[in-house]
Amino acid sequence: MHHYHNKKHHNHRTLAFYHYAMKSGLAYVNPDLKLWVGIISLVLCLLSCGFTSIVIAVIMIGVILFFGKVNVKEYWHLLRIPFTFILLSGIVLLVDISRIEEGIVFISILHRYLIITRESLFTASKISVKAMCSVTCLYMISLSTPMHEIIKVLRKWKLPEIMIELMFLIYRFIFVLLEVYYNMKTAAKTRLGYVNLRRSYQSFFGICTNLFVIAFQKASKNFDAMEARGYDGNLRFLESEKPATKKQLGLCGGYFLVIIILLGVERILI
Amino acid sequence: MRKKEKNLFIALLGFALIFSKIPTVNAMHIMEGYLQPGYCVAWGVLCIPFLALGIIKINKVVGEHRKTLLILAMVGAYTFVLSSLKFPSVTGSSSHPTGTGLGAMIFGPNVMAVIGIIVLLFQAILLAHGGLTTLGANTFSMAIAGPIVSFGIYKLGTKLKWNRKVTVFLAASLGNLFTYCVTSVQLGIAHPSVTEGIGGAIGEFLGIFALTQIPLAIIEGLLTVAVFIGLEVYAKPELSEIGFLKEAK
Repeated sequence: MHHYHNKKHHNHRTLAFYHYAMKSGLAYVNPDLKLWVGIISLVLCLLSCGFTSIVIAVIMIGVILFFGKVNVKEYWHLLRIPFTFILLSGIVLLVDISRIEEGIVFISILHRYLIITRESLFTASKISVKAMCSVTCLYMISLSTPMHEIIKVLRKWKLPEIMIELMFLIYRFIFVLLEVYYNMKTAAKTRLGYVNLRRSYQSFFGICTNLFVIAFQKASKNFDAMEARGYDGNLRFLESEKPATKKQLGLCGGYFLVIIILLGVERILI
Repeated sequence: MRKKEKNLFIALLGFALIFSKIPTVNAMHIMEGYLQPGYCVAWGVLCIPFLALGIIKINKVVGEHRKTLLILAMVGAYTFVLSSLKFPSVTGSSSHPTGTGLGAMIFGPNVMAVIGIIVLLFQAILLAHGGLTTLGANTFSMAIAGPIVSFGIYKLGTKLKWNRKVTVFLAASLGNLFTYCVTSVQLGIAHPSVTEGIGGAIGEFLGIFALTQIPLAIIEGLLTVAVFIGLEVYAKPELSEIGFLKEAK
């Protein structure tokens, strides 16, 4: 099911996370453990006022860089996009509109004032820092755990079987469709389909339409193939056991203890 | 390319040229960590009834035709792939279609809610669009609110016998716009403006995202029309076989 390793170079960029997760140094760690650590860290990040979330982020980045063996440059490259969005949204939180001159900075526009107050500066920076730190927790999960293992964990969490099945199939079909897409895109490119913006849109629309039609045909053929092999509505895979070691459990326990104490101290002080 | 479509493309080009100068904000997904825990849980809980209905519906149709499951999965994968692609644009800004409106028109909004939450989970983990804590809020805006509007307009248009292309265009683009309105409201409630409260903050988010979302909604509408026509021409037998798009002419 997951043999589409590096088949197309373009896929590498579209699904960078998938490739990092597959070759991660943490690939052999128990997936339940990784998921729980990531999710609890996320919740703790949201509960903190900023300081603790920075500590969590530093630990998450450390884990991914040292144990996950992700290249620092590549990691930064992946972080840049969400960070840009967070900063842009931060500007919206930072700037308020007011009828009167107030706050620490104000610019007059059309009889109104764009203002920045002490409070808005404080909230905007707090929320942006928390959001950035949360992204590192999310990245800890996505850069260390392949999707199919996450789905298996969700199966253990008793999600409806139909959803699990849909997840496995969607995950599989994503690779099929991406490959078809890049083939069609290359074909269009060699025929000058992306020579200017108008042509690009024509090609893009045409490819998307065709992709949908091909998706339908592939779904049909896949079903026939699966039925011929005895598909009865339940997808079963060979699973390799990855038990969590005592050392890992101990480390995670220690980590949560420290963070919860920090969070408590932070709550009392601020 | 027919003449009408050609004119549309020229109009589109104008839009693209104007708006390519503005850095595109990905307003559709709320970033990880951007909502307080209370709101994350509240939006998540709000999604549960829709998801439950969707699962019941899917179980029912899959019980009748096993093949539907694969088609639904393909639609999910298509939505994901579409969202991972970038629209061609002058500056290479990262704007992308949502594609949930299309699914809602074919399969109904409840089914799309289930597919939508799966796609959003994949987007969060595989593309870092959105996040795990904001999954509930994003599901509500993108996989529930938007599709309901798309589905409603599509049904209305079909009943009143509007021009088919116009109906599909309106359904997809207004669904897209509604999604972004809901997102603005979600952000505004979570982060009220200091001087003007929740209303002011919602207005600010709406205003800023309108710059990029209105042209995006138009592009999404056009794309959906193109896909929908292709679908009726090439995939109608498959769809009718499993009991969808029967009324389509």
